[in-house]
Amino acid sequence: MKNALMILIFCCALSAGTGAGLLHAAQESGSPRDLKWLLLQAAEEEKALDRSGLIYDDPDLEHYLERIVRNLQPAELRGDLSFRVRVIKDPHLNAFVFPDGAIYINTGILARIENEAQLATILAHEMAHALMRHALKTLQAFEGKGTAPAAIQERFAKSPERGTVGRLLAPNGPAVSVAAYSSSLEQEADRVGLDLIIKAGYDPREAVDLFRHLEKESMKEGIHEPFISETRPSLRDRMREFERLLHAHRDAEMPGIRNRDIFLLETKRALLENARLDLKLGRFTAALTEAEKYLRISPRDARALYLLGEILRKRGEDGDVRRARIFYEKAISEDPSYPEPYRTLGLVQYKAGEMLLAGKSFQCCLLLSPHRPDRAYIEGYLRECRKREAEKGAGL
Amino acid sequence: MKRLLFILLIPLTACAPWTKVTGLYAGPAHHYSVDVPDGWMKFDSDSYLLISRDGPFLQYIFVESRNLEAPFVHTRRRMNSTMLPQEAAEVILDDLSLDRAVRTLHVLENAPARIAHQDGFTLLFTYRNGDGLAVKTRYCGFIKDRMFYSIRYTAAERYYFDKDLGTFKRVLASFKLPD
Repeated sequence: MKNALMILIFCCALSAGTGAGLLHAAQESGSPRDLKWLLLQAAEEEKALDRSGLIYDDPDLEHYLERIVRNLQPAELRGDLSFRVRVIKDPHLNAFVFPDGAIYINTGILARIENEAQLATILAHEMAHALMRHALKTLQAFEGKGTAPAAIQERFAKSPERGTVGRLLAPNGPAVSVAAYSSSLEQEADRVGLDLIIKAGYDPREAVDLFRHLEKESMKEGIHEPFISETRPSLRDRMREFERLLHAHRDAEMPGIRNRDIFLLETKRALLENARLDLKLGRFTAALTEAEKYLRISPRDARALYLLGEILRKRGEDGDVRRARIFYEKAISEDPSYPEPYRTLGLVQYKAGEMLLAGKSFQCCLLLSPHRPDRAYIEGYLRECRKREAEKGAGL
Repeated sequence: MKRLLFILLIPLTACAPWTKVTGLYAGPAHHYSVDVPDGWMKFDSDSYLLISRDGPFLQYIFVESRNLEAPFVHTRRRMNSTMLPQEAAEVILDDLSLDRAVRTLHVLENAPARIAHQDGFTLLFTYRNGDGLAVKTRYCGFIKDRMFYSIRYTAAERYYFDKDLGTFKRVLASFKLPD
């Protein structure tokens, strides 16, 4: 039963005017008992999520996201739901909203989109799910059939994204919600979301570009993302539907806000965090793209230069280690007090048999960071460096 | 981690039962041997051995030999034979940190170690599993030729971990590769 409850609580999407009338119609369609139950479950799940260690703690970024959400929420609906946004440390493309208006968005999305208008498209879509009470409608649809848990689980089991999404939060997590919304609810969220971004003054053409861009990004490494994958033909349908909606909308051709520079500045820390996550995941191309994107904004950031070196060293293709050395050296020249590039430069030199250089790099690292957790490794390397240098000196 | 156990235990409930085993254990593929302590039960396959005394959700020792090309569950990174022990440990930690069932992971120790006369690494870490239980693991591993060998001890942090740590140390000391 727990699975089924969660399916209904979490409202995922990355898929695309609202008015008070529509909202009230949605509210009237649900019984207060069901709504209360959903909100209680949502509060519990949010608490668990916030304690999970998965939340990316960046108050400035959260303020920025909440400013966008406030701008998107029509004045006449401000009393109905209080939206807030939190970021999850997860490199996969995903976002979801709880019925009480808590929106969660992955660093993976923030890292791969291009401007604020695209971000607003995603947030507006999630807001639309909550405003239109889609979780409640889904619950009632399944209750009506009298087979809620089994039907939802069966549907989830058939989802092609099950494996990928399942990584989000363990098998019982919000993962299952992906398959829980009907395509008509997704279309409604797309429609309402589009209306929200147009009313807020964003460029609606970015909505279509968003899907094209994300699809291209996810195809680079053959990544099957929760919502962006060629295994989901509905994505193409949705892009076409967006184009159709844009043609039909009289304000759609008006140039609107894109806010590329502000977006990049506000999200750059999450971009770097996501590059680290992609590196852990072994998605080297994605990690490289993200680190390079960050460095275009902050070209002298020693931590980003070091990370770029790490991506290359760990990928280890032809010429990568040589390039990695250059980035470690750049990182050291930008911030000589940062110990990490000394360690990795030392490792590269050590493996290349350059024991004198490696010894110096390791010594610098320990000098700057004497109580580091990997001290025992570095002391071992230093002993070996001295031994080999002594052997060389003795002509052995 | 819990998923690993779950995957391993599904076939167990369906067919092969836990069996009592004592003394020298050589895996079916003879990649390694260890001494199994008295009173522990085993479940094994060609590539791994799982032993436990009170049940694997409270404590277990897991011994594994795997080809370097074999994929990990969470990371796409691979090990290779030129990796230093510290680099191999990084791959293990990357894979572990991507596991959604491993929450609030804290690495307490990451150091070089000699295991079965090979240069390897030893990790000590704690985390909370999907049920919120605080768990502690001692993970030792090394690369030899085209294989990665690991032997790890996982137990509930409270009471159980310390209780069988000595037993794990004896099993680790008995771990041998064939001549």
